[in-house]
Amino acid sequence: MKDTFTETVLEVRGLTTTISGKRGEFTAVENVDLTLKRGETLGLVGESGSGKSLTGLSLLRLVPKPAARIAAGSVVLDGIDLMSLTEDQMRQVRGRKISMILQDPQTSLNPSFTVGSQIAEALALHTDTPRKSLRDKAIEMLRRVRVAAPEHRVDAYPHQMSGGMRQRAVGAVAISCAPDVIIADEPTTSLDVTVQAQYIRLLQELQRESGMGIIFITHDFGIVAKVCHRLAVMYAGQIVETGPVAQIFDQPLHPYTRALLSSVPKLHGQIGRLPSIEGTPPPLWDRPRGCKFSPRCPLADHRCRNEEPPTVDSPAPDGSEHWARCWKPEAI
Amino acid sequence: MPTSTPVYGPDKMDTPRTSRTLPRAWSELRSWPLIPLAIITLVLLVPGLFADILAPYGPLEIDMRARLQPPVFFGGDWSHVLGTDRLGRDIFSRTLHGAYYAMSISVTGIVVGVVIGTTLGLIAGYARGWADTIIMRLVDISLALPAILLALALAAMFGPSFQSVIAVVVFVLWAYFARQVRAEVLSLRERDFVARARVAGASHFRILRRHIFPNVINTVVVLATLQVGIVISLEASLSFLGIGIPRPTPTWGILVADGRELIVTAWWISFFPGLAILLVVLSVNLFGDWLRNRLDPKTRQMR
Amino acid sequence: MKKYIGTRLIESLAAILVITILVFALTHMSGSPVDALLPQDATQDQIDALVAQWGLDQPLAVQYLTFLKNALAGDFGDSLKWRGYSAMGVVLDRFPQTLLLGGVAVAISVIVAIPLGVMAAMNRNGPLDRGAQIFSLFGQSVPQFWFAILLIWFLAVALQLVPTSGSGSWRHLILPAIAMAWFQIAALSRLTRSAMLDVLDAEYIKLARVKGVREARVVWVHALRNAAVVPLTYFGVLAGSVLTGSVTIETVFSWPGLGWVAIEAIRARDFPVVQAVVVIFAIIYIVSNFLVDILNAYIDPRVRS
Repeated sequence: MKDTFTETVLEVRGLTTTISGKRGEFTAVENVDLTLKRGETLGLVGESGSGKSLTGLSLLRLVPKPAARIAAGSVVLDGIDLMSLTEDQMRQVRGRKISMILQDPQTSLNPSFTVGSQIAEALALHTDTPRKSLRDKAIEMLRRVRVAAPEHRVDAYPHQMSGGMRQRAVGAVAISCAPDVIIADEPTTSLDVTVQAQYIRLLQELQRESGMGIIFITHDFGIVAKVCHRLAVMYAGQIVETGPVAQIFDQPLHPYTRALLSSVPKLHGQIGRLPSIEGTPPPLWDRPRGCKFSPRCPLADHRCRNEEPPTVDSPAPDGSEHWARCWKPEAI
Repeated sequence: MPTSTPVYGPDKMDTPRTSRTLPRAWSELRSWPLIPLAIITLVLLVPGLFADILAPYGPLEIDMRARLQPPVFFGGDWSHVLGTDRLGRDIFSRTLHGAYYAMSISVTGIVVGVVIGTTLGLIAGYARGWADTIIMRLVDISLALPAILLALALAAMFGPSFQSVIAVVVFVLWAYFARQVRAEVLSLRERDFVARARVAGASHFRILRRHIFPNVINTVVVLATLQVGIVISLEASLSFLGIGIPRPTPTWGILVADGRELIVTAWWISFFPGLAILLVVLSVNLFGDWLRNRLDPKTRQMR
Repeated sequence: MKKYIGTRLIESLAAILVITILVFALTHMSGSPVDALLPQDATQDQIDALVAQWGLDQPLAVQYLTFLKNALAGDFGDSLKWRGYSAMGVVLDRFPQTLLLGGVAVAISVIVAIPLGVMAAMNRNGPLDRGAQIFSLFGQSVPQFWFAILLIWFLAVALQLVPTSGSGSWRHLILPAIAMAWFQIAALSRLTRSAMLDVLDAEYIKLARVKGVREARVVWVHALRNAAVVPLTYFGVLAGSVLTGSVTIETVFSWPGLGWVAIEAIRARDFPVVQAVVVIFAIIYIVSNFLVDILNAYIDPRVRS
């Protein structure tokens, strides 16, 4: 994918979110840096529990209260630092400038309201659409997400629709106010394969039409290869590697990325199989010292286990950024 | 009243032999609702069983010279700890005897209700077909009618009586147990050991008695224990209204009713028997909540 | 939806039928219906009239049908205690009083319990939640009649705020309504709390927040609309507890409603009136349960279709 994106729409620096519970306060998202350009799709990849969903929620300042708390960092959206806004101002931003597609279409629509009214609610909040034309707007949104017979579906309740159609409706809610950024949190995991492919195509079309930036949270490298331009790999609350998708697939820097890639079907087929990763990710409340991946890393030595690894740059041929957080990227 | 609980839970209370199991048994015991259990024992079980020995006076013993004596610390003396009523009867003794009635009526009512409900539930779940349909219809209708209706009708026809109270209690309980037991039987009868017994040529009665009933009985006993609170308040309400146990039997409900008119001048007559009801029902409910959480892992972690 | 209403309607009618059978059976189990339905000093003419009206010389099945026919027409005979009134007349005369008391009590409990449950859920394990839990535990365990007596003692006598019994003004209504609402608040707030806790974790609540919906609206509209189904199913039970409560509460406060009439009639062995009360109670209870189910179906679109 050669598309070049120039205008930065979202810039995240040093985002840190902590969770306090029975085990005391621990860091679940640590010092995350992300850059998203207009029209670009950034894949945020990691195993479950790596903190990727929490990162997504942190961007919207919707971390589960009172347990979680955004401790530090800046999230600059279209020139505004979201962290400096009041809760009231932030609510104006949510849904209008940044929105989110949630994981489970079965449960992410309110069963007590019609699909149309749930789309219209966002429009009524953020645009000055007259009340009378809200319904028409909702129909239009359903049409944009390719729901068949939108004039009828607008009055349907979620339980009257199929899973794929519901997820489209969730998409319609998200795009209704034409946001600059959409965070898609594993939007296709619970859909079956053909519906999945359709949905991804839809997201791409919508992106082309509106030029919004998408952060695509997933654990599926197959989807990453299909939809993402750039990639950020998350492990135990940290971004361990980020760069253009093609570059990372060709030359992964971090051993964790390599291991992840080896456990999915190959793009080009010529990379030799690597042993898949032993063990499980550390619980976030009990992360190891030094490199968080070191207990599972085949290359780890004393230094890896004790000292925080540095950031290693290896820019892509076209000059775009590609770096990893590793002591031994050259050993690969 | 059997409170058969140690059977349940992941780690039973083993006999503490080594120094390692001792703290475990202790912490296990600490997780038990000790205060409610103590209250149930002290306010219901002990007086219920030993009222005759413990009570300083007979429950109906009249002493006109000692009328309307306030409790000790409220101007009375130690001869009548909780005071006396209009006829000089000792409130403490009467409340102790009330525990006997609360206990015996709830045990009788629950046993009869459970036996009827369990039997019908076993039949409905095992035989299925038309028997199931008829029994479950009756269950639905029974659950759709408030007990007070039966209580009023029975009292109107037969006057207040022990039998009427038991009938009302049974009416409240049987449908609940029939439904629970039927659901368990339905799942049990599909299990391997029942199929094996059937293949081996066991009669229906034998299958029910040897294979199904033993698996149902634990649930039934636990559920029955939890009904004690409901039954005690039901009986007390009916007796209070004069449509339950006939006077002058000193049940808690009647004791409260006795002091109703005198609440302003002699509050202790109504207060202490009512407090006994509150303490027992509250404790049984707390114990029930604890037991439910313990048996149902779904609700265990939270709320 | 139509089919659902139809089924529920048939079930409700069956339950009412069972009650008439029960009442009829009891009249006959206690000996001669003549003794039950007529005063001791009844003349032979009165007895003959009764036998003719109720078909007492006919087989039991025919007698029941006659009873049912008369009952459907609202005719349960004449009251023995309130001479000169029909049993149904006495009951209908008292009915508005119970409706008033029950209605006020239910209104109080809904107004208090639902916000209490919602706020407890939002401050989960906070002081308000703990307080509400203790309150509801006590509320559900305290014997209603005893609580009512204590209320009289504290409020009416000690503080001299409101009259202790009788009816006539809205001030007479306060104590009985509180006594009746108490238990319902306890049960309803607990139910609302747990229903809200389930709902607040749901993804669609997250979606509402993602849309930028105001937090108050998220809680009171998006969440409560779904959580309300659970307490609402309880309204059927509530109707039962109002009826049961009306008997105790009205007796304690001498509030001249149906429950009071029932107890007075039982004391006077006025069986025609008791019959009428029981049947009316059953109908109120069954009809309100029926209405609750329909309302539920309306609120929860999943039941509707």
